[in-house]
Amino acid sequence: MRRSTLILLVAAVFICVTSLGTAFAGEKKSAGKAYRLKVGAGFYSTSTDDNKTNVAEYDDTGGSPTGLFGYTGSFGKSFIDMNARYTTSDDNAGDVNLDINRVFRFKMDYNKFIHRTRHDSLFYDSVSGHRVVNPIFSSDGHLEGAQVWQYTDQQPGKNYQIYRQLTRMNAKVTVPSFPALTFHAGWRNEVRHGWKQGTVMTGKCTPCHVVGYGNRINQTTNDLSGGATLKVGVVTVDYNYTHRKFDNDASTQMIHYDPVVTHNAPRDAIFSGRLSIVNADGIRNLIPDSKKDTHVVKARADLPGETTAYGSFVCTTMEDDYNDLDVNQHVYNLRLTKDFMNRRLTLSGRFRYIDINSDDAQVTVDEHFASFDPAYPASDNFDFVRKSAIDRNEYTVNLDGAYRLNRCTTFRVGYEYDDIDRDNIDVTSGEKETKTHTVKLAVNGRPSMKWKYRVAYTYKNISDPFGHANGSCQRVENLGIGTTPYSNVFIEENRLQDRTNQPESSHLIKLSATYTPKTSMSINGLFQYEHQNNDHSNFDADRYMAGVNFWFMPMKMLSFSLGYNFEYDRYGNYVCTDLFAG
Amino acid sequence: MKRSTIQTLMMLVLIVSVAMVMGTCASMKGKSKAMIKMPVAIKGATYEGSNACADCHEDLVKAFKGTIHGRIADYEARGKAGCESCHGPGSVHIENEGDTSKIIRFTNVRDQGGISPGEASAICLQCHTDGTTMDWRGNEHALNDVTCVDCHKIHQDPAKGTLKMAEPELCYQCHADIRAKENYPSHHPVREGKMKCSDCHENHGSSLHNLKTEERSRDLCLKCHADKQGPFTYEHAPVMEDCTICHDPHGTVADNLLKQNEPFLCLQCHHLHFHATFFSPHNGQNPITPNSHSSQMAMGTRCTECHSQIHGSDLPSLSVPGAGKALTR
Repeated sequence: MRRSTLILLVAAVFICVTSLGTAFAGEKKSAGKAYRLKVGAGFYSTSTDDNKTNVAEYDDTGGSPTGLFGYTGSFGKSFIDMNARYTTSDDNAGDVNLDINRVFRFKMDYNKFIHRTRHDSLFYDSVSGHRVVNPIFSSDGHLEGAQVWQYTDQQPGKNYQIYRQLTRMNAKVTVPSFPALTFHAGWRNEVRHGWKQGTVMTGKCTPCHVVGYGNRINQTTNDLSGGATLKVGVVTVDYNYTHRKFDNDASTQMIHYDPVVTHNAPRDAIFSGRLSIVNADGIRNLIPDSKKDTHVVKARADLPGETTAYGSFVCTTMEDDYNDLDVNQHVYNLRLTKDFMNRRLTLSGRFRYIDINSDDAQVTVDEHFASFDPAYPASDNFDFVRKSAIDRNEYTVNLDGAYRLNRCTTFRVGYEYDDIDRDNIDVTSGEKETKTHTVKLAVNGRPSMKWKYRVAYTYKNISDPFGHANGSCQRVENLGIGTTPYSNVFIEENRLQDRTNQPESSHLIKLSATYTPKTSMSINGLFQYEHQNNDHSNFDADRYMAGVNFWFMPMKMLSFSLGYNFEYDRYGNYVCTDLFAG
Repeated sequence: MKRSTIQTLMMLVLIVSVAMVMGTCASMKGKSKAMIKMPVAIKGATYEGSNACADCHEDLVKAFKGTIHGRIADYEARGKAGCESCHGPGSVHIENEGDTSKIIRFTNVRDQGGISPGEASAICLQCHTDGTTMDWRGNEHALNDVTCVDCHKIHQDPAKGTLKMAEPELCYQCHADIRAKENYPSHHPVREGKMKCSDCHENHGSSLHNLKTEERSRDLCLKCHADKQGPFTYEHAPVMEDCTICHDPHGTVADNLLKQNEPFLCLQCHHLHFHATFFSPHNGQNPITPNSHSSQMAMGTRCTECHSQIHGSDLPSLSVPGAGKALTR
């Protein structure tokens, strides 16, 4: 960091801290009433000498006067708390908490900030405008043509950033004459507007051409919810309905897709037939509007014998407004928890069932192959029914236990079995179902008021973990170039290897110790090691993490943290390059 | 009316009916409304009222009155509202000139002679049976003997709420490894103060490993990232399965919260494209001369330069034989 930047940063921090510290604060009390007012002012400044996306991803750079406002007032059983922070016009926040006699309760918070996103400068080919095709050999073996890869950045040097704004409100009403029932309603509004870089391939094979452009972001997500909570005796029931509407208000963007250029008319015809848009405009980067409706019912009962039963049912429908496809999802949860031996032993069992069904999509592909295309005869048809990867039935069974050996030591044991039965996709060759066994063991200790430690071990055994069945490694003997159409050769069914980054077995060890000499200070040391491997797909991974962290809070509203952490990640997997996968 | 809606309403009616019957039966049997076992009250003690506590703890009671617990209505508390709703009846404590062993205290949880974490939580749970604490019992924090007063401080400035300190610093006291990950280059804006741990996590327990959803983990991500919901015509299967197959939400070195940089992340499940030759301008060669470094530069960068719609798309890609599945538009 430059010296001038450092000086400016220190000065800005000093001004802000002293301004806050000397902020006007008024306080007054009278019978049954009290209020507190807090006002602060300062100046905010940040400068960078590196890519802003890297060093100020969520910060507004530049300078601005800043302000703080806080008001807390109580009037009998009524209460109001308001806070606002203004850093810059694009970075500010506020919240309100209002309670009128415990009958009407209202909370609101608002947050606005910047998110800077990446600008990929793309690989620049200095020989622009020179396009050729896949290598074509003459009858005597001479190379006649070769491929050129091209990139075009339509907005070089542009800073892409998205302004995010989130507003949340929640209200509750309880009628004193019937306190068992509370009505609640909520609204969540998220707005994203700005620009983000998009890339699109405007030509395939002839030429390979990637274009970078600015993608206008103008999105709004609105969640409206309402429901009620009923308490009757030892039973509590809650119902909530949420309607979510996602709107993409950015206008549809078009881009021109390249013509085929082979310098040879018959080859032009062959490659043109293999592309759906040639030398024409087409829509790019379509983000569809969507909806989601969710019903959630939760119930809890405190039963005799220190037993608590909890259950929930969720019914959800998600819809894509562009293609009118729906997904219906039902989730059932049930948990039973009981204490034994005067609370020295706690056992908790949980059952969870998920059922998801999605519409199929009928996809019609417009074929117009050249009749003399050796790879794809005119008779080939690529229409298909898209069956969703989300369709499934999943159930999970948990059994957890905690045994308190004494006041200082607790043993934690857990077992989970999860079974995902997918309807439409294979995760390994011929297998759609994944079964996972998880075992957890842990010891939590507090040998004294100043010391605590934790030792934990988690083991997972997964049969047929999620992966890409027949993902790579073409069967060479089926190649048959010139005799068998490409469409019958270069398909997933002719690939040999299942690929994944998910393990069949996983071991995770965590160690942590914390020393707290006083409540305003703590020193923590931690170590973690995780080993994963999948022999079926030749995947393995090791991860080490170790660190020391120091935290100190000398006074209210001022804390320091200092830490050193080291993490080492290693992943091992085969990389396969098929003979042809254009 | 759709069949699924009818089923939903029937389920709702059934659950509420069962709940009403159970609650009514339990009440009719004359059992205590608080089924969770409380710490044993001091033998022979009776309720004296909060004004009696103020005789010795004047400042504490005055500050408490401004807090949310000091303002609760009588109908919200089980038994009497005020100091003794949590600390138990105080007459013996008063008679013995403030003997701290004659009252329920929360500053000596886990100490010999003090209440246990489970007992401390039980006192709070006699009232907090709804909202976010509905699924407290049996959740990860409870099973690891974290109790309410480990994070909450009841007698404090009402403007600060009830948390001992603000997020995420409070959470980092136990989850130091997450603090480390939050400092990686790619992260959610938690350390910048734009987000909190509780935006994604339900600290009081939920049906899914203390995440703030009763559904699947991807449904939690889609709350903010609704542009990836779909359902799209052309899907990317891991997106429909679990976002954490590719992403680590706490922080990563690679961009976009990816566990690894492209193309290596993608090459764990997919094969590498092959092309016979590429021209490399850096070698100053004839444009028709093949050069392996060109393939490396073109194919060894980011797969999403071409496959930009990696989360799914309703538009077909250019390749007719590929049936438009390549997620490039």
